[in-house]
Amino acid sequence: MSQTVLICDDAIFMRTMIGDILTQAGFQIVGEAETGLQAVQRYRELKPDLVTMDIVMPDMGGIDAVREIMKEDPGAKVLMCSAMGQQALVIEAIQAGARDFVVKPFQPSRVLEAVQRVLG
Amino acid sequence: MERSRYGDLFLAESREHISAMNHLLLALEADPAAREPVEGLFRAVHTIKGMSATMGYRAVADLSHEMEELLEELRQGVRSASSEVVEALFAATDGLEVAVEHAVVGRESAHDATPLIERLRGLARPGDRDGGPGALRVEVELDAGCALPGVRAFLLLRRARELGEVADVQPAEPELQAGAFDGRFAFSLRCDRPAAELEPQLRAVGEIAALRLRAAAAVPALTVELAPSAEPAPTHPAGPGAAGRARQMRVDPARLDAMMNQAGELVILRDRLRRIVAEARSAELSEVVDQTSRLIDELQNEIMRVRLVPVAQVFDRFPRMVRDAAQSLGKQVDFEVEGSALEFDRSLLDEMSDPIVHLLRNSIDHGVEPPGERLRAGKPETATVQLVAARERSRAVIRVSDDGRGIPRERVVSRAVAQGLVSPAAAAALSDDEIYRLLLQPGFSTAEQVTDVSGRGVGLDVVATRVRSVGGTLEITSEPGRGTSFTLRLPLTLAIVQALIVGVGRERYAVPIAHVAESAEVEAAALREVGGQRVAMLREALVPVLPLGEALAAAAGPPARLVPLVVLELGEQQVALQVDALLGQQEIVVKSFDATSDTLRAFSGATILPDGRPALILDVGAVPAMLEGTLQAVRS
Repeated sequence: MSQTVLICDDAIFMRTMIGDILTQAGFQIVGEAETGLQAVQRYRELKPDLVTMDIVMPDMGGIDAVREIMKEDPGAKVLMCSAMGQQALVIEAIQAGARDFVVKPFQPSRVLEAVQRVLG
Repeated sequence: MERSRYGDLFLAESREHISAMNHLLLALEADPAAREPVEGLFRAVHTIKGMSATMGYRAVADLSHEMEELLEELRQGVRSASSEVVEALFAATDGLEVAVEHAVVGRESAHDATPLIERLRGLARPGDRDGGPGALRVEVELDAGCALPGVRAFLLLRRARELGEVADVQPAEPELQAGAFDGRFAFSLRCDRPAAELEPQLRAVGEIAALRLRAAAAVPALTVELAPSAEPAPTHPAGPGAAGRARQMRVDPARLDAMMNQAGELVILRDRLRRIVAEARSAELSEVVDQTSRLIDELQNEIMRVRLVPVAQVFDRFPRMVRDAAQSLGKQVDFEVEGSALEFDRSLLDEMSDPIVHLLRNSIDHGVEPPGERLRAGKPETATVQLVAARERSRAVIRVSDDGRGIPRERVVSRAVAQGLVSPAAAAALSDDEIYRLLLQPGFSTAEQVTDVSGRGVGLDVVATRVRSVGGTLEITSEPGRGTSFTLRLPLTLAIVQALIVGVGRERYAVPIAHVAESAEVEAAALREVGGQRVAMLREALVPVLPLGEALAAAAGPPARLVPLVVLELGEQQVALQVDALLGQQEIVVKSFDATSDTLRAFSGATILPDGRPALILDVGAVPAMLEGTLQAVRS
């Protein structure tokens, strides 16, 4: 059975892109979230194998969402999606419990490598 | 990474660096205490490492990393440049060259660098091979493509802290996290697991180009290496480092060749146009054509200048080759290079590179005596081999000479007789020049045993053929006990040559003007037969005459009262070609073909004349053989 993914990003464009990359690699996209709050709720419902998490989102940012998710499931596997120059925020997210990160613009190979590291 | 686009850049730059490294190693070998070669080597290896990691060439990156480690120890003065170390670096440089060439054609796996890496490691970690429990120094180089190196470093340190105790992080962690480093950092890790187990755990963090663990005690301070250096990290070929070099650009040589060819075609059309204009008698047309002609000339000159490259580009690889050849033969050789700064046509240099290698090996193998023999002959123990580039009027000259034993006349003659190349009777009458020419016969070799360096069954004939095929000549001079020199006289460019067009019957041939001493018309009565050889009296000297029509089995025209002759200069010798008509001088664009094809041995290429008809270009180097009747120049 293919592994399940929840994609959290406020931009449809980014969700579509990440979704395409992961679907092509055999993952199953089980849900999407546009805000940090939604991300936490959907994680609770879906218990996906992997969460991709944008850092900057309305209604609770990605980092706070990671903290909430980790509180409920310390084994959660979260991959942060960041833009260039956000290293301080990414480090904060990792301290909050995220496992790895990818940087926009996404290169499919780098995204998949990071996913493998998170799940591996 | 777009390999197709950067692959050529990577290859060109790596080759330059590897060539430089060979030079620096020679300098280091000569003076093991010198600092500059070590610095230069370190920079070259570091650059190759950065580029190869960017390209994803793991084998190249790993090997260069290992070399860098060793060089770093030399830089720090922790280790001295012993002959063992220098030899290992020579071997690793060769390995690097092979790995680079394999990597760019996608055959990276064809070269296993592991033995070389092991050899370097054996040197780099004296007496401390197993690591063992205790403090380890971990050195990391992140992927050049890593987007947030600070975060990746943070992740790696976090992983390390799960495994053991981390200390002495360089650069300091705040700097690392801010991304203020060049992708390389190091830290000490104290834990009781073996290094072999730690390495994969640390590597699993990802985006790591190189990671190395070693016992902390064996490591010198790394501050020098790790301080943010003035030299930018070579991450992208067109990165900030390229700004200072923006006034130069790299061009695919094939494009220059294509431009040269097109310019050549323009030259031919120009000549055609001129003929038409001469008939049209229009002042206006004539003026336009004159201007166009001038522009075409300038264009052609410009393109030719672009194609010029310093001779050093080819010569630079020879010192290393000479050293290796001399060493493997147990000879002592001082290698002198002159004229490296001259600029020759790139394709000419490319063509001549192999022949020069052959001549140098030949000199070291056959010319230079072993040290003992030299001492007994009252000569200095160390021989001198010279490679000289020079300009001689409109020719490029390349000369390889040695102060060795000279060419042994008797051995050459007896060998030639034994091989049936010459009859014993004829052998006795041979001049020095003729004897030396025997060396150029296919398959001729006087070496009694095949050595690793030369005499692999391919002889000087290969050199002679190649030189001929570009319209050049090979001259040999030798003095017993004093030395031998081989002189190549070559056209300055291979693409366009000045030629004399001659008519034989209905055919026309082009004779490269570089070899023409003069043309003349003599009374038919002035030609004589002496001992079966036709000769002409020219300026009070007898010159052998080659009737070109007979030699080429072309239908010759009817005998005329005045016979046109083209006098060729072939080294010391002159030969007159007897033709039916002298049709003038012009520039021709050489379209070369495979000169080894038997039926066309008499020709070095073909060209298209202004009237659109093709003409074959006479291979002047083949004339002596045609004169002796040994070359049956029959056209298919």
